[in-house]
Amino acid sequence: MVKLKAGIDRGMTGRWTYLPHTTLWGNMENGKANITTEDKNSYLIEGTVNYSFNISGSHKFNVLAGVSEEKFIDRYNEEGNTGFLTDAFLWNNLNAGTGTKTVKSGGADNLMASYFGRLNYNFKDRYLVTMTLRTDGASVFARNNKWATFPSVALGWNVAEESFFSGAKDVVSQLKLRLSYGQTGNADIGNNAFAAYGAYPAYLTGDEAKHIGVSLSRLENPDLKWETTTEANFGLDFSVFNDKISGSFELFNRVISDLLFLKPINSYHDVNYVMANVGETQSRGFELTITSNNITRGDFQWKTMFSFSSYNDRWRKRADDWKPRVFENVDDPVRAIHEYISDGIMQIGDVVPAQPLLQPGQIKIKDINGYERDENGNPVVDENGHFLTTGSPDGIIDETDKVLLGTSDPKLIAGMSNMLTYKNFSLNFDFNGMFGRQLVDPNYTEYGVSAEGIYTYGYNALRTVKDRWTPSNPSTTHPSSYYGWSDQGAGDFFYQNAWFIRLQNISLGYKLPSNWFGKVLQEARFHVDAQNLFVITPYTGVDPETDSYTAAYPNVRTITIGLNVNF
Amino acid sequence: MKMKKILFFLMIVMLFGSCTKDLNPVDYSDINPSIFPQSEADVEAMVYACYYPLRGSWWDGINSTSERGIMFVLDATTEILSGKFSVQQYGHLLNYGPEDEDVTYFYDGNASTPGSGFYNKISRMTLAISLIEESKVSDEIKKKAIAEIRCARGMLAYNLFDMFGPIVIAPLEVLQKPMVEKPLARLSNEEMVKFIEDDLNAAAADLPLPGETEYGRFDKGVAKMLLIRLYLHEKQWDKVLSTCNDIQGYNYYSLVPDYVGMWDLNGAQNCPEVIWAIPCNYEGTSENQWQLMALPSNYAPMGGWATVQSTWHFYDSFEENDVRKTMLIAEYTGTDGNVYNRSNPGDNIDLGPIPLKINPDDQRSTSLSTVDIIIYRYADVILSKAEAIANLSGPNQEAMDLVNQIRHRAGIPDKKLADYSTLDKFNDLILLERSHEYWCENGQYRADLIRHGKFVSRCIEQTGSPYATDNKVVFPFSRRAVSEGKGLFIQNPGYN
Repeated sequence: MVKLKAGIDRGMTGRWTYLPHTTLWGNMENGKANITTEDKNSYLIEGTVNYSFNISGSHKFNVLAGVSEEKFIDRYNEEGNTGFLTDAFLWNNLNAGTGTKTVKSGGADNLMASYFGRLNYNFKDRYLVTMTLRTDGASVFARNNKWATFPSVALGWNVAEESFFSGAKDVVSQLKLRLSYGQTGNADIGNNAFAAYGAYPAYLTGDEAKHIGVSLSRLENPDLKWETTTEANFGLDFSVFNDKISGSFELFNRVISDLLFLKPINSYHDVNYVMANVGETQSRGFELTITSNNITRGDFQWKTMFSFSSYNDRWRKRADDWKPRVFENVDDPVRAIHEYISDGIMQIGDVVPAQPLLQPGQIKIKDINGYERDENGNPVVDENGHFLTTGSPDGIIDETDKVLLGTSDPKLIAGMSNMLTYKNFSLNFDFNGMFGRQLVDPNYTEYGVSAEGIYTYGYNALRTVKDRWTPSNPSTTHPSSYYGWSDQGAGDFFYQNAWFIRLQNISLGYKLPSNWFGKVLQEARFHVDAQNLFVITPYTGVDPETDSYTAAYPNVRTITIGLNVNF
Repeated sequence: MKMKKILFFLMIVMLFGSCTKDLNPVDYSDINPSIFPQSEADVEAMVYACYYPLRGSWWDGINSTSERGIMFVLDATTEILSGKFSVQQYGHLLNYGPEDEDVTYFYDGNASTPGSGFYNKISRMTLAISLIEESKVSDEIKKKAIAEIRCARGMLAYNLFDMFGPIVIAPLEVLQKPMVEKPLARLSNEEMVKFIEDDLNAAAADLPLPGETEYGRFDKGVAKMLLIRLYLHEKQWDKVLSTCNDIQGYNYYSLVPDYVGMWDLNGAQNCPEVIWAIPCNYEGTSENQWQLMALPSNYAPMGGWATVQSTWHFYDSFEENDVRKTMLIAEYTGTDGNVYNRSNPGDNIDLGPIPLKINPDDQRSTSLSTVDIIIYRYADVILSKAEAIANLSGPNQEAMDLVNQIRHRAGIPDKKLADYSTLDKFNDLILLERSHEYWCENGQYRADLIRHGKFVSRCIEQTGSPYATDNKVVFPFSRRAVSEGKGLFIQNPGYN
């Protein structure tokens, strides 16, 4: 079978804004109108050939080969003006403004092409094989590595279908093993890998004429290549004891090599970033879901679903010219937290030799490491140009004293849902949770320690400000208003355990007996739902899940009472 | 069988396709390097790109009149400016370290903004000079363009040298191979001074005479003025003196009677005292936003953000009737009808008066002003000459006359040589006079204090800051700059 496919994906984003005289900014500029439109179109053409055949009846094959080409055309323009006589024009009469005009536009064309093939093999639904091979080319890469080839293979073994398993069919109704290994490519670098000069308004004359300046805006990286994700997957689907317990288990190992990233090169270059392949990361983890029909007895049913997942993302390789800070390691977690180890609050009379400028009420930092230094006292490096440390205290708090505190990823994410029904009643409740994580309460550090904002601006603050360290209140738990003035900051002082279990949802329902309303209604159901009824956590902030910045909006608690009626 | 034929056909197509297909991207907003630079206009565009980092702009212009410009940050380390947050607060206490991007920004930018910072713009200029030399335009065009770029490079290099001490200057061979990893060490003090001096001398030789070029562009006067700065920094008094004489020899510059008027809406243009100013307007290819930074929000008729104040200490150091003091606003009636002054300062003048060394520009409708940014004035030549004479041959009447020229224009009585007969006393007089004359212009008072050994002691006297230590006379480099130097790049003392 031959198939020809053509597609157009048209994306148009437009923003039409007007700041009227009645707004603060609009009044300053006498009305400000702006129109921005962005056109992002892609045109795809794809041809495939598909051919199925059998060998001796039970060996089924399916072969597919294809070729595709996709063209991306992006256009952007923006125009605006200020100084309008009346707000009535909105953005519809840009020429009628006397003020600052905005004129901008841009455009780029890019191309991607692929050749691909796939082979499917199926033997009596017992053995399944899929093999694919694709070669992709992207215009964005510079001359040397436009093309790359990505193979993949997936194997399936339906164990329960085997003849030797037929005796155990009552116990194990489904058992399927899946194994896959494959590569995919990524060419998303935003722009392209060629050198270019940029032109922009650079100079204003005394007569207020603008002159255009031109300087290098992008460096060429002739060796830039496709980023490759190599993923190995092991899966197991099972159903046992008359489908009483079923579930699936996935184990994955994903390696992203030749990571595409805007890499800093030596900062003395005018353009000191270049798109480059900067190393390799690995993500390993598992996902487990289990469904259990706990009780099915007459009118009573109780079903529970569990899910667990965990992953670990680490660096495996870095760019050859990687310029680490002294506390960074080659194999750090991808979202690593490096911090000083705090050592309590300095009290009056304390002597902190490693931090001579520390004032009482500020947080002490543990001196655990130091630079190896030459005879002039300057830090020395190894053959890769990375700074060496001694591993022992040196009487100075510097970056060597930072340690890998952990990662901002949770160690385990888990969920549990329950469904109970008895006659016309139903009860559902779901828990979810994250474990093995640490967090700083951003509201506390912003508004709960320092009284400086109150003093200087009359800001509001949290009540905990009253407990802060002062000479007459030598607190050991709340530092002083000026804790942030210490050169080394607070270290890990404010980190808290932030695991949590949340009752995400609970819902109780009652289906009204149909004889109550005869033929008028089909069904009527009364229910009470509650979202986010409680959270169990040692974390003292507002919400362990959403507190990633100051005054983040927390999960809300909702209670709903409802009646569903179907006619 | 038909299927197989089609498959075979397709494979052939693919084979040929992959050989002939060339995937070329087009970005219509870029200029392809193989066709640039070709013409005089191209060369001119490269010169403008070298002026670009030296203009005023919060985003990427080093002479911004905001916390992202040198004047603001440098004056904030002295009694001229102070504030309640950010660099105008901790800088005022000399409490800065390698983590403070507000100061390290000037060298290698913000870690989060690719390509920001200023020392890499020196490399832009180095590459531009080389490209222009290789281009096919006439020698005359080359000479003028290169002179301007070398003046720009000398100016930028001096400004960074003044802030950080010697810096990394990347040689052309290294810049031409950006994909080759090459950590570089900072220059020695001697090499740094020579680099700046060579650029400025070359620029001074080839640039047009003052008045013979467009307002805002570099001329011999600008290059010589920068040389004076460099020689003052190095205390090469004889060279300070001869360079001052060179500038006076142009017979172009003079002191204007109206000090305040230079910061009027059109005060700088056509002013014979201005050596270099940056043209600005409301649309802001080049930006002056000083009113926004300095004025309180309740200032009539058009306020600002009150980010910065002067100090009462500085205010009190002026003599009575000094016209330069009138630009320090010590009393104003707010839009709320209240009168704010030293005894009722509110939140906006409690540290010191409003440092409004600029026309309030009531007509500004955006955050920007049309008043041009004055960077160098002839008055600087006069006081520099006085300092050089005194330090070469002891205080004498010639030096005192020069000081009195400046005082006379400011409307205050002459000083008598007899009262300033020792060099220390005379230097103190000059230091005080320089702070009064050049506050909120280009931040040079910090260098003046350092030159006279008073930078740290002055801060301790006035603020009692425990952070004021001797190493604070140069700013720290970011940790990133040290890391990428791979052991060759040595951080300034006390910041390790």
